[in-house]
Amino acid sequence: MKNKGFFLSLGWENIRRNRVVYGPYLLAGAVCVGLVYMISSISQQISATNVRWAVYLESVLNFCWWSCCFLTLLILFYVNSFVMKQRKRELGLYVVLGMEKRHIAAVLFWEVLISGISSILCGILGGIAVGQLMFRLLLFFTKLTQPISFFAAPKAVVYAAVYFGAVYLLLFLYDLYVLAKTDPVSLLHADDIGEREPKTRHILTFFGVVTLALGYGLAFWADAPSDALLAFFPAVLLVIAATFLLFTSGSIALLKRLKKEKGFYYQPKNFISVSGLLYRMKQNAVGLASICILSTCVLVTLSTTLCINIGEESSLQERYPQEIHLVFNGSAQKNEAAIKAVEQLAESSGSVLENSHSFSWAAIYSCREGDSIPLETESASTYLRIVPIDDFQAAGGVSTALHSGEILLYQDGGAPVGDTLTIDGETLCVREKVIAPKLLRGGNGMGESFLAAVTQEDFSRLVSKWETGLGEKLVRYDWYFDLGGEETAQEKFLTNLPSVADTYGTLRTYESREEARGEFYALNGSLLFIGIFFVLLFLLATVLLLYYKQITEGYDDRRRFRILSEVGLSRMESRAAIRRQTLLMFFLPLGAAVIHIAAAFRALCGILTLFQLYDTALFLLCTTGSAVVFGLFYFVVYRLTARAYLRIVQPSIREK
Amino acid sequence: MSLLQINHLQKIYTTRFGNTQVQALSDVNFSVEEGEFVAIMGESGSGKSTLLNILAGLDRPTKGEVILGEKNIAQMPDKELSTFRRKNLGFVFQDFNLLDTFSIRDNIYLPLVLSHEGIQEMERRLEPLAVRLGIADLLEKYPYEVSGGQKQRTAVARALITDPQLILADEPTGALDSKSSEELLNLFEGIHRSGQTILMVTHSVKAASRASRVLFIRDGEIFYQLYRGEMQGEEFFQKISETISQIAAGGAIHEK
Repeated sequence: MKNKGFFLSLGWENIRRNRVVYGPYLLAGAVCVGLVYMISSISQQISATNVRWAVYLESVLNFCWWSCCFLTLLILFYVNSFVMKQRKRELGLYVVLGMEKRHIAAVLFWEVLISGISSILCGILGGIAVGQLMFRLLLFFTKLTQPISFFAAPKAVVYAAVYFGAVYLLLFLYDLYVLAKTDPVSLLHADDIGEREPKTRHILTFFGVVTLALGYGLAFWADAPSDALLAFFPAVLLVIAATFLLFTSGSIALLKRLKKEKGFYYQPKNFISVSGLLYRMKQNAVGLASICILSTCVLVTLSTTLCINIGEESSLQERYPQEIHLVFNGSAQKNEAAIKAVEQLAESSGSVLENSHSFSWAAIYSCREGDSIPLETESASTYLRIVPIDDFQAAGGVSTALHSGEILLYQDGGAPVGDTLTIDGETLCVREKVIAPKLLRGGNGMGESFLAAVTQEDFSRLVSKWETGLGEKLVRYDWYFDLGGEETAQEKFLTNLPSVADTYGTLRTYESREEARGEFYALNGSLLFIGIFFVLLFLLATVLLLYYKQITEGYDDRRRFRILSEVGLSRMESRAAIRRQTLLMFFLPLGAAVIHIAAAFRALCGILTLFQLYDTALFLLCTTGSAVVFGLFYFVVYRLTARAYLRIVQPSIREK
Repeated sequence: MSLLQINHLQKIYTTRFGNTQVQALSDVNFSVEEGEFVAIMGESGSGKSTLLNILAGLDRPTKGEVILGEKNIAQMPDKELSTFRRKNLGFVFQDFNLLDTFSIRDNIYLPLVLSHEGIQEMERRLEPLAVRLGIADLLEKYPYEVSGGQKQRTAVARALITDPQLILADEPTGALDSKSSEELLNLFEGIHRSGQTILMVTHSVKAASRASRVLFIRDGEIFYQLYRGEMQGEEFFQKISETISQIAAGGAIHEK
């Protein structure tokens, strides 16, 4: 066997003959290459064309590239190990026919080379074709504009080719390892050895239930958004562990339980499904659990990124209640000159300041002890703001005549306080508990927050006392307004505003909603974009898992259904039995994924409030929408793979 | 009226691509009386497996009829056929065809479960049968945990539990060692003596010599038949062997 061409043609023939297994393998390879190529080509396109937020987008895409590379490696390894498993018998046959392991290695080499080269070529060509579209999609999501131009990214081609060259080399080494480790002759008969009935593992099942309860509990009872974010990661880990435990042990415990119910078990439908599933679960529980986790990933990614993008305008409004927000150090009196300067600028540029709201206030961080807030504490879980009553009204609050020593109190989070509140040793009487106006409502995002409206005299006295105590300036002056007038006038005003407002060096922050909008869109759009990339990868992994599972099961079930038909199961009945079994196997992971999402819903809502999204109805819509779309997609995949499965199983039912 | 009547059975296979036609059965005629134990012998490719598949309702003939009781299996619609097969036929195969996913007990119950039989009735039928076949202690085991002979006895139990009109056996001793084969054939004889009709396809002269009649099939036709009559086992064995060598020599057979 010196002829190299022989091994090449044998390898080629093998791929052609095993196309049921190899087809999706090649396709998966091409899609992986295409996705990775697209990310790096888009990233290069962005740096070359100098769009706004380019640096930011590039770093996001870079992260995406690394993650995608890692995921594609996992996917290709999974598929490859499946292909090798399916072909073990064939490799055994080669040995029987007199081939040595090094000859088989040569065949494997050509097979990997052929599939690697074709996947990389098709992937890059496909990536070039679709890449422009994806770039447009990114610009669309981020609402950035860029003239359409064709852009070839030779560097991206090189990256993708080198990376996947390395991946396929690794796959070849892995195949060699498998080949070296196994005894091919025994593999010839590997399939004929009966599989033992799985044992019930009560302890693992119990752990599964407990971890699931813990995970769900964590996600469900996290109240504040920051808690939700903190609790989410451990909850996810717990739920992943629980999914694997319950799919592997829990399902078997359940089926064994069903088997003991004689009245239920000895019904034709249940008899075939329960016994079949018992073995099916033993072999496929890990695959099903992985599908469930992947589906959950798809749903979470899709629903949150969609929700963030659809709700971005309202969250922008939430974060920036008015077009301009200026913050000055010191009180209104101290900033009179600066205010005047801004008003003059408006006048001279021809714009109008509308809905102007301005107010002074001061804030301290502390830790509440009952109804008392000391000035200085170790930790800072309480955020306290005080505002003069007139300024409280100016910000849109209720107007009430207050006496000295009285306060109007607004509280967000924490246990409610009583009728008095003692701050820095001074007891104030709570006249009324109120809802703060919108401009004063936002806390600092963690712990509890208080807002106390006091008389002007009390304000001055308290603040000067605190400032002495803490040794720092506390008073700030906030000014919110919208802009009216001609567009050119507004532009002129906006360009000069930051410098004019800071004439006296007292400007603390300057925020313009219009300026923030660009960043906002870029951030959210790129989130959605990489969300879509990940969803594509997760989907690819899900589809491949489903497909290969169906194929392996098909080969296993072939004999089973042949025997059943010989004993007297009609074609219709066996079809129905097959359908019930595949439906269950398919929709079990999807159902579990939907339950996971439902359990995570509250926590996800909490996390979304960190993105200034408070619209639960919108998120519910996004989640159900993604679930429905994903469900449909899943169903289509089911139909396609079920057909492949039937093609394998059916002949045995018709003929002998 | 015979229990089983086969008239002018013909089966032609057409390859999926091209029009090559293979005639597996050309014209088969025979009948089986109730309580008979009939063996069908023939070389590989003689058409005996095709014949058995058609009798079992697993394959359809091109022409001819297979009448079991009053019904023509060849014309029966698929749905009816499965039920009919379940109720009236029992199968014993060379490779046992037990399902690894079921315990021995559940393997035997299988045809009854498919016929919606109640659990009490199943248990009632299994008990004496399991004792008779010597598998009463194995019921909770799984097929991969028992020996070949025990597997085949399980298969016999599965065939018998429906109380069928006819047992069809396809090389039942083919995968067994000589001791297990002997035991199984004794079992068949016993079943036969208790009144069960059996039709067995086999290669083995030893197996065939236990039958009450042997049919020889060649090139898709019943070529010759031998009745056991009053012959003892050994004598019948000799007779069958001679017949086979004569057929192999290609000559016509002349009764001495």
